[in-house]
Amino acid sequence: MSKMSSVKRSIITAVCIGLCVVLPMLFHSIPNGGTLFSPMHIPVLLSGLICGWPFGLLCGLAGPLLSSLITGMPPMAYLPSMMIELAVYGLVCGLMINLIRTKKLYADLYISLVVALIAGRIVAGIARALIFAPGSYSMAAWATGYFVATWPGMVIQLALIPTIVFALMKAKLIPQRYPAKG
Amino acid sequence: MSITIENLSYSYVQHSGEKIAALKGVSCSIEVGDFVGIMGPTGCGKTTLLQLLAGLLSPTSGHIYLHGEDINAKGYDRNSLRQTIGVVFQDPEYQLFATTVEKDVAFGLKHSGLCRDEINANVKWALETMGFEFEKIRHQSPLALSGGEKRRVAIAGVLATKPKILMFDEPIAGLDPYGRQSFLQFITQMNQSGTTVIMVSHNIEALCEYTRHLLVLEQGKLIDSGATRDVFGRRKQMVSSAFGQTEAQKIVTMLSEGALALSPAIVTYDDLLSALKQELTRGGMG
Amino acid sequence: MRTLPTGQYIPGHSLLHKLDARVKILCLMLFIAAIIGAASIWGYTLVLVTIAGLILLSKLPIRSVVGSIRRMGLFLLVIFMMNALFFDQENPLASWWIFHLSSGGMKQGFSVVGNVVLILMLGNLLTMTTSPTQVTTALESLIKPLALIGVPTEEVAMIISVAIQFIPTLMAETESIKRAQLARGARFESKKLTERAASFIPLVVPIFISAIRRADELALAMEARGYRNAKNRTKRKKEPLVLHDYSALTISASICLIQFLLLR
Repeated sequence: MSKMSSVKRSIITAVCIGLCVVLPMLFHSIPNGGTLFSPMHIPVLLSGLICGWPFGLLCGLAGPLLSSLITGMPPMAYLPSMMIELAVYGLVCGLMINLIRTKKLYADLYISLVVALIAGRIVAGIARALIFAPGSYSMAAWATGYFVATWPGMVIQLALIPTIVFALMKAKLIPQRYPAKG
Repeated sequence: MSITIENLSYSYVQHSGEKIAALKGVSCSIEVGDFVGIMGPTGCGKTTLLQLLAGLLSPTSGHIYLHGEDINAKGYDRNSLRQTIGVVFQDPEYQLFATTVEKDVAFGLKHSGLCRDEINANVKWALETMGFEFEKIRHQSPLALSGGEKRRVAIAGVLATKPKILMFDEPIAGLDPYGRQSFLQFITQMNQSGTTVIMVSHNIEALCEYTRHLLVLEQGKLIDSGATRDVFGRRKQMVSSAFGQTEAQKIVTMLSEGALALSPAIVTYDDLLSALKQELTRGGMG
Repeated sequence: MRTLPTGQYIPGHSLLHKLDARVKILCLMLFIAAIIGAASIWGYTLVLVTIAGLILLSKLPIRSVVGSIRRMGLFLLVIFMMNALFFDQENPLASWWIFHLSSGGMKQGFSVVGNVVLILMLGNLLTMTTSPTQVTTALESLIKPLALIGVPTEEVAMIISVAIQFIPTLMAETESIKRAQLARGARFESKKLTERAASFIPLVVPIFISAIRRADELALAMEARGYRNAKNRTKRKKEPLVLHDYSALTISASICLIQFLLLR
């Protein structure tokens, strides 16, 4: 995943930012598409995993911003905490995927994702608490409350993202992480 | 499974607030086992019509009757509609997603109520119909196949439900001449075994050589319909657009300007060739 | 041909519409600072009067500026409660389990909710008088100083413009993939969480495959044409700032200063 050219990584990130805007529109038009999870998380996590942490960070910041400007989703009140949350996702999973090498692709992906998702939710929870209720003694409670309430979304993302990564490798669109020898 | 369309209209509102009327008052009917072509310039509403027929969109007004039943009526079994009608959209290879070809092709049968063995049999049949060796292809990843193979797998996915009505949106656009011919022969075979085939195409020659009836759309309205030969004959008389004339008809027009008058009933290449043969035997080789 | 949705933008010819987008963003930051710094009745009055003035200048109906805030009612209530009930454990007005109602908490609750509402109104004014393209172009300019600390601002600007250009194509692609899968009988209604997740795979995998394929093709085309990095891109001509832009900046800065220096 680190063998792609900088241009390719830039354009993949651009496409992921575009998908941050387009995917929520798509899911809202599906009967029972559900607001069970935020589809915007997927392109951000993917760009961090495939292109590296700077690109993941950019996608996490620009995605929700552009989406809010162009489609009004998320509404502006939620925008700052969403930008922070997604930026942490992109950053952390990009860092993790570089650090973790278990020789098994699934393990690398799951570990990076879980750490990123937890970190992002915690940081976002803290940020929201700081913005909206500074000084209240239960900031920790609020942060973890947010984290707990969104765990179904986490399960879905953990299910979908490795599948997408595998599919991209099969389609030879991104280089194999552990190329088969011989 | 005959299809009757009554005064069908469809309009939608774009993000910019603009209202677009994609179809206006279309009425026609399609008989069981027919091979129907739909033609018209870009933006005339062809794809919208296909989507409405497949039940993917709800009409703004009008009705679609499948075998006498209104498909948009309350309580109509959408599931059986999906199994009866198979749609292959443009560039179908983009819809592939599964880990094996077998799983991808079996996707449409998930809610069919068939048992495991029946599903496997259908999948095998569909892949073999598309020219694959079942044991060789079944465990391969659909995403790693060549472009042509991907397209055939995608079509197999639609065939797996053994639909009684098959619809194709621009199926031969982007295919080389060999691919075009094999595809058209394949759907002719499907048609001959009883499947109703509806094909949207820009390719006048393909429509002219293979379809039996034709629907002509322009700006959302049905401006002509009927037997293929008759429609092309009428198109020839529309001086305003050379659109809709077959190559053979254009050659006849050219020849008539050069003082060789051939019958205006010529529509296909075969017609042209036989007429020319007649002329040659009459003219010189007495 | 699908056109890009325009979010909250309402085209118009008011003074606010004519201001340069970069100036509007900077003024927004200054006003946000002024709002947060409001520490007295006079402070809040100044801010309210300014906002009322801006709404008038924008010639937008008040209903649209304030409308979206009404929909946030529940959210604002939650914020208020979080402050009122969890602020002060020592001197509660009333207690129950972990909830301790305090006057300090309520005061903070009011001020936080008030600030949020005011800031949202300003944000709405910005997005209603500025098109998304203008905002992104302005942001690309404003982040230029970050280049001093090593941020590749040219690259970032390029990525964002490519992203915007891709959106109509992506919208059409995702629509057609959704159509094809629905036609095949795809369903998204299952109750069990893992099944629900799995039902999105036929949608999400093809969408990403086709999107990344397009990215691949574009990147190849760019490299083939000699693209090395974004520094050599042709620059868009920047419109110079005009009198009303400078006045706006001066006025906002003054309001901010007044807030912090005089009205504490």
